[in-house]
Amino acid sequence: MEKRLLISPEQITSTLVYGLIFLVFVTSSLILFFRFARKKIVEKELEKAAIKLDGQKKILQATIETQERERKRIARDLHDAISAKLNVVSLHVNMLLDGSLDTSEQREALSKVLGVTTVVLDSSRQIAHNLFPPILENFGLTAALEELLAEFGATKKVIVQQDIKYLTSLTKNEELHLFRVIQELLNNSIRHGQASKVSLELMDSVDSMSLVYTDNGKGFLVKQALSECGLGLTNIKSRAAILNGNLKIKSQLGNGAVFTIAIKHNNHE
Amino acid sequence: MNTVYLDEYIALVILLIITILYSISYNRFKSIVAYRIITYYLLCGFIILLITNISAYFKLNNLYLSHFYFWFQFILLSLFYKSVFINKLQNQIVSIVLFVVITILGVQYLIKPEIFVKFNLLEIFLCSFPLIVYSIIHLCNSLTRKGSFMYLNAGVLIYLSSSTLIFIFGNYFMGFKIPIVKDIWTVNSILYIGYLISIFTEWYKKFERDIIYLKE
Repeated sequence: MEKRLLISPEQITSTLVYGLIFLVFVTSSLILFFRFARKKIVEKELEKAAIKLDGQKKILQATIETQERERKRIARDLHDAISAKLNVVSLHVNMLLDGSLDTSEQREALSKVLGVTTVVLDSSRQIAHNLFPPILENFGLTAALEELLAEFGATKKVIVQQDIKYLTSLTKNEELHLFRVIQELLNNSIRHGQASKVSLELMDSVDSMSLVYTDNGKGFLVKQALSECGLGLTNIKSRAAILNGNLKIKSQLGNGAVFTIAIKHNNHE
Repeated sequence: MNTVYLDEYIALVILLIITILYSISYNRFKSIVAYRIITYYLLCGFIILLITNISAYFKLNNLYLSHFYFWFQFILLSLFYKSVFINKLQNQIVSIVLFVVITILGVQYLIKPEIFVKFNLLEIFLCSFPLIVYSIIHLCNSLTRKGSFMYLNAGVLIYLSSSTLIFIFGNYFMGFKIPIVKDIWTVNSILYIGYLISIFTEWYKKFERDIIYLKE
């Protein structure tokens, strides 16, 4: 075989030529392959970015809507609970300044003023409390949640069960997000679900935290609710995302709802 | 005789034009290290090819020039890939391979200096194979981010892999005085012209982009 090769250099040369053509072909295909693969990868990345951007847009829109709704509510609360009542106070004080009232009438007007100011004081405290619960700032999440659940329980419309084991693993800001999520869940259960019983279970450990919220309300179609993306649900979803939590919703019409949020702690500190 | 070397002269002229083009735009792109290296690479390539052709014209032995050609090509293109790679590990690999290859070949020349007048198969392999691997690594890198010098890289991959094969067989062909051997060298020249065109395209795309940028 070796001998044959040595005596026919043309054969080797033609083999080399074919080898060369083959090599050029293979390397060119390799380059083309990489080019097309890159194109595909870029397309997919663009698609992903577009979806992400769309999600962010929705959240931004929802945030703005929520903000506007909150402003309206605060304006209404201020008007109804404070301005209107202060008008009554002003009226009575004017009457008193006139000096046309007799002693018993003066007494009556003063007691009216006192009553109204007490109500106004209560209302302003309530408004401030709704805007930002001071207990959360001063006594932490557990106390704030207990107070919130007690308030809901006090209405006698709903029986509240609770099991809160919280290890203060969240920052103040994250605590506020979790508090708002639970507040929203409670509001939804009563306003939309007309639930008579709700239960809240909060478990916390060094590396993770889990929140399970259950109600026995009317229930809803999860897919539909998610696709409609109402303000409340969007709010819960985005807050869960801020907390790095995994939100799961289970619900059936007539069978209440279960919300689970699993949060993994970043132990970077 | 002139027809035999025609392809070589064409390659030389193209190389001269491209070297001039790269040198003209040198000031504009000199902030890009890879561009500077390519300009030096072209200049050295032109000088070696010119000396090769002159010595061939006067029928002098010019085989020893192949060693300079492989060494300068290996060193400059390694530096080129080192500047193009963003990944720290890839950068380190290039430096290590550069050092190892130079050491191995240096030791080989010290032990057997007579190979200086022949084709050195180990040299051809060690000076080309890493460059082919670098060009594939560069292609892989360009999958996830915008790659630079992609035209030149494609040229390196195609030309180096095929010309390495030709050079490895070069030693074997030295003994034959048949016309088909000359054809093989013509194929090599054609591939080299293709490679030069890829370097020219690289310059043209850069130049064109720069012009558009200036207009905007």
